[in-house]
Amino acid sequence: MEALTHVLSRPPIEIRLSDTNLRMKEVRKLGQIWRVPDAKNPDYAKVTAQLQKAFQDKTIAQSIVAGLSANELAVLQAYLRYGRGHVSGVVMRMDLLARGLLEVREQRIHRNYTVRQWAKVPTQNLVDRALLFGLANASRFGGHGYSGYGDATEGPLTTYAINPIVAQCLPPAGPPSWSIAPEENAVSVGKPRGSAEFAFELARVHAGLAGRKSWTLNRSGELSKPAERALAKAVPLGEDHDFPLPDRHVFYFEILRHLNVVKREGDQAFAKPSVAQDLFRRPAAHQARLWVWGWLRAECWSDGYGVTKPEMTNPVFGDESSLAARRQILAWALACVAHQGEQWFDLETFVERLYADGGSAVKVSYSYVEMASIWDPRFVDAQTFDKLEGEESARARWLRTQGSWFANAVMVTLATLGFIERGRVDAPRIRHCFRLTPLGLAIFGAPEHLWSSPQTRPFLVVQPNFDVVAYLDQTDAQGIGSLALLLENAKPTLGAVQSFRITQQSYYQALELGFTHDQAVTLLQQVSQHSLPDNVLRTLEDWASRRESLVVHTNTTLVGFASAVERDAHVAKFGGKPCGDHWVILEASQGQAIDGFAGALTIERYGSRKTLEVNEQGVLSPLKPLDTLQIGRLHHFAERNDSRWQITSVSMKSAVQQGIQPAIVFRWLGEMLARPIPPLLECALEAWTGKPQEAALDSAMVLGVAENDLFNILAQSDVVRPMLLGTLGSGWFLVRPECAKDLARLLGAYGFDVAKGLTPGQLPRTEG
Amino acid sequence: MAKGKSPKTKPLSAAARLDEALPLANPALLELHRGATILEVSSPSQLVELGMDRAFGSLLICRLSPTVALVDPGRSEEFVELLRRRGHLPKVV
Repeated sequence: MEALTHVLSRPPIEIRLSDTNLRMKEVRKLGQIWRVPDAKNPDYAKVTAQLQKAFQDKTIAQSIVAGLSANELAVLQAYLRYGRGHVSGVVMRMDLLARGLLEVREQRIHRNYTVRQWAKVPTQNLVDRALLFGLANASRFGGHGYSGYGDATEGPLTTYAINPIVAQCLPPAGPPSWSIAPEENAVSVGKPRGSAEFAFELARVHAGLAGRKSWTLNRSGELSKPAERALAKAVPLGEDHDFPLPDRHVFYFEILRHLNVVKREGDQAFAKPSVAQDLFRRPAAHQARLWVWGWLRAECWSDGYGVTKPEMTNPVFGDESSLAARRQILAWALACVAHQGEQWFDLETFVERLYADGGSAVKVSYSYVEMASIWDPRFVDAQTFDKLEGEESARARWLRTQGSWFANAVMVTLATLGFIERGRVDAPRIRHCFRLTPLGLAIFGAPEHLWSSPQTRPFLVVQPNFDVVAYLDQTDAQGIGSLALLLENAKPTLGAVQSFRITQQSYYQALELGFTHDQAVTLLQQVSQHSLPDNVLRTLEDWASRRESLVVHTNTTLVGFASAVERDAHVAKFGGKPCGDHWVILEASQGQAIDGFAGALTIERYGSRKTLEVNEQGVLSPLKPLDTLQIGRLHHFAERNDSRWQITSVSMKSAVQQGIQPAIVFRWLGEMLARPIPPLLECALEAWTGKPQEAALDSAMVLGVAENDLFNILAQSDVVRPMLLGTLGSGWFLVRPECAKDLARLLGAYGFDVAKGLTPGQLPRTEG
Repeated sequence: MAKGKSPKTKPLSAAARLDEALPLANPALLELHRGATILEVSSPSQLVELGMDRAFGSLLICRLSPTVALVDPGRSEEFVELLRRRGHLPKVV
């Protein structure tokens, strides 16, 4: 049996006085309270350093705690219940109210206006004594209640973290007494999901993510639409049409992201298989605890709505968005009702209590995503909101919008995670109900509810045709995630019994993601109800050996020697793996050996040696000795005669026939040439690889007319036109050869001085 | 040396065709290749198969040994992806 931490616990923070911006006067006062020897020293740094040290003194802390009132002690213990990290102000508001530690004072100003404020703020003294610490950036709305307009008690309290030393002085409080009347007549509407089902789906989504190098995110951080579609195609998941989970692949992605199984770099996300494997090996309750952690923080996906742009750039409650605040309140409420045991609760009653007690974090809408939920719980009062008035109408409208959000979170999201069992009461009208599953009780009822792992049994049946039947209700989440890598699900369904296949692709991917063949076979054998069929074992071994027979070594260091003797001498002295007669493959650790290669021809991964020139005839001239890479590339598209390389039409056509794309040839030349390809050769390369250039060559009778006006006159003349074939451009006519003499006579008759011989224009200058 | 087959010459042997498609690299001087990608197979016949496959034409540059080939620098991902698409199961290390 194991006690988990409270579902809202956060990791402890380090209190750094330098982050608190305390003034000297406050530091001195704290110094006196915490018995700092030299509290009145004008040196700020010195006093804060001593104060920081005093915060770690249990004796001093105990004496300060001993001087607190009973209420103040109760408040501290309430904070302690939620761990030693920052505790949400929206949660503490509800918690302290439920414990009777917050009191509201009303002042009626006139008939329609009443001011509500906290009668006394129990945290002030604790903050003044550095037993509680606020965030560096205080909430816009949080605080100790401000005297001003309206109801200051609806807003959250300031977010605080408890001074870690206090945890050594006091025990944490027990659960608050917030509860809901149980529903006696509910019946279950289906078998609740076990931890294995969700774990399996989560692992499959991770396997899908790991199958691609990276996934594109939008600028605001959510998975892009094309990436979502690609993921959905790669990892089909079963759908519940009665309680649909919107954008389910994004939901799983967000959970994985907040478990650090997916890493974000700019607009790309990457799977982290080693982190995932570590996660999947943990006990089921530990994994489930982390799923809640991920759900509480998933800003790019909203319950009942789906993909949403995160609003963290504009937090509403301290460092929390309204989405995070609502989820925290829901988690807190479920943590309270968990202590009522395996009871059914009416969903509408539960949601209405949240409305009554949750304050502005529940009541006020901050985002359009809260206004439209995919699953409609059909709350009765929500259907009649337009027939009501005043507060009743507001409450009914809320049930229709934010209330439905809470209903979706309970009946869809948390049911998908395996924490909620759905139920129903059929008379006098259909009402949705829910209760916490044993896993839900363990997670939300922590630390009081203890968790013991259920007994698990082998749950797979592997058939000779590679079909696999998994009875997921006979196991839990521990270890099952690893199995998801090995199995492919072409026709996903929901439910405890699901069908899969072991395919070459899935097995190969599992090996690529870190499984060894022995590990994979051992895992399958451990979870199978019967021995694995012989043919399956043989095929898996065959697939594994095929993989081992074709290895791509990336990012290696190669050294090539002119002779085998030199190579062998190097290996004898420095080690390395000999390859062929001339090569050595170095390990990454053999840096010392590399230092001796100062004079070597060095070829970098993304930088070739630009040590060649080429002329218009395609003859390549090396400016320095050629290296293996250059020679290897030239061999693919150039001809070699003795020591001379030349690019010819034959060599290029042969390259194309062997599958070398022209673009690759151009790229290689760009990486090897010290100067650009001569343009004529570039045209030739294009022509040789299928894009011939057009030209025409023939002898002709040409008439040149320098003046443009005269040119146009002759072109339009009824007498001259019939003697012309066309124009070669402005100033030049192509003359019909048989009309040449007649045209000369005609032009002479019109007074033209027709000279014999042409005066062509100058050729353009050569570049370079 | 002209590439391709002349109608009057004898058909090339498998070894000769492999030499033509993927020659053995014998460096004349000391060479250091950093960040290189190499393909290592368990039998020379696998290298023959890949060397003769047009799809890998520009991705495999030369052989370093009967079972090791140099992949065109900067294109290792393209090479691995192509191997997978062609039904091979490469182990990438």
